[in-house]
Amino acid sequence: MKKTVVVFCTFLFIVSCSKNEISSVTGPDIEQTALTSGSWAKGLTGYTIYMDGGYATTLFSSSVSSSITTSKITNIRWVWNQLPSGTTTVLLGYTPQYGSSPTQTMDITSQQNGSTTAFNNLDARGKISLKFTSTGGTSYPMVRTVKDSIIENYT
Amino acid sequence: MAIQLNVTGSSFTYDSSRTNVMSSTGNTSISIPDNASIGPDVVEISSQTTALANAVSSVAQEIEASKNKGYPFPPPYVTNEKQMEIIKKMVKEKFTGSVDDSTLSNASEMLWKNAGYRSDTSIAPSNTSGSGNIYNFLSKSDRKEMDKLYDQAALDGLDALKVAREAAATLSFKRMKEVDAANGVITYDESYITPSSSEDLAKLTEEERIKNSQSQKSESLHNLLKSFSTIKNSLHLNELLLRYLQKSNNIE
Repeated sequence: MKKTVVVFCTFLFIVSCSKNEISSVTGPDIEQTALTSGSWAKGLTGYTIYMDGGYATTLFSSSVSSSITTSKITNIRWVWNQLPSGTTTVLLGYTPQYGSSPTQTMDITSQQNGSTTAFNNLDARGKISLKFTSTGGTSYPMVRTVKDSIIENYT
Repeated sequence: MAIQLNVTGSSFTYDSSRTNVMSSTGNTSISIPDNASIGPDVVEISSQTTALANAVSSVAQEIEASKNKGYPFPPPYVTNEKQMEIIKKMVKEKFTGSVDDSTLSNASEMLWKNAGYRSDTSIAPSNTSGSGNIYNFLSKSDRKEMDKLYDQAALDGLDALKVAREAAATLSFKRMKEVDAANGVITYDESYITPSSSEDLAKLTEEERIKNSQSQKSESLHNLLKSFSTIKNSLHLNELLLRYLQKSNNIE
C-alpha cells in the first residue's frame, strides 16, 4: 500500500512541477487582464432582405470583450456596401453589451465610409450595428455577398 | 333520383345517392324529376361564371407572383380598402362580361384575404431592432395619405406606384425613428459624421485585415489561457487529493 502511495506521490510531484512552469508562462488569470487602449475590426456579410421595405440588422462586436472591461469607445469607423437595386438606407447603432436594442443611432446613409465620435465614452464592450433598409428594389430576395466593416477604437 | 338545381347564372344536375342535399333561399329552385335516371355527377357552369373564375384565378396568380418577387402589388403601404379596390380593378380588367358589383367586391375581398395582407389597423411594432418591414410603422391615417397620393399620381399620368412608394418609404423611415425616440434612443444627425477619403478607405481595409488577424490570434490566446486555467484548477484538485491520501495513510 505504502509503495503505491509513494508512486502516486512521485507522479503528482512531476505534474506539480509542470504546473509551476505553466503558471510562469501564463501570468495572471485572463479575467484580470484589461487593455488600456486598442481597437477591434470586424467584417461581416449582412442578412438577406426579402422584400420591398424590408430591413435587417448586422451586429458587430469584439470577439474578446473580456479584455476591454474598463475601456470606452474613442472612435467608430465603417464601410458599408449598397444593395443591388433600389434605395438603401443605413443606420449605425450602439447596443449595450447585454442590451437587445440600440440606445444610440445615427443615419449614415449619406456616407458609405466614414467615422464618428458620437458614441465616444460608451462602454467598449457594447455592440455596433448596421441596419440596412431596402425600398424600391427590383430583385428580391437581396442576398448579400460583400462584407461591411466596422472598426472600433477604445481606450 | 336526380335533382335539378338552378341558380342565377349557373345550373347543375345532381345525382341521387347523396343524402345531404341542401337548398337555399333567393334565386334558387330545386326540381326532382319523377323518372330521372341514375348517372354520374354533372356540373354545368355558365360561360359568365367560368370567365369570372378565370379572371379571379389569373389575378390571384399575379398577386402571388408579385409577392414572390418581393414587391407586392397591390402595395403594402396603402389602406386595406385601397388594396381591395386595386384588386377589384385588376379583376375587372381581366373580365369582359357583366357581373354585379357586389360579386366583384366579394371576389376582390376573398383575393385580398388569401394574399395575407397585414391589417392596416394593426399596432405598429414597439421597437425597431432586428429585422422587419418599415411599412409596418405606417398608421392608418398615413396610409390614407398614401391612397390620395397614389390616386393623384395616377390622375396626373405619373407612375403612381413609384410616387407613392417613395413617399411611403420616407414617411415609414420617419415613423421608425419616432418609435426609436419613444423608446429613449438617442439619435445623432449627420454633423457627427467625418467622411473618409479613398486613402482612408484603403488604410481602413488594410487595418481591418490586420485587426481581424489580431482578433483571431487574440481569441486563440484567450482560449489557450482558459484551458490553462482549467488545468490549474485540475492540479489544485490533485493537491487536495494528495493531502487526503497522505492524511489517510499517516504520511507527513
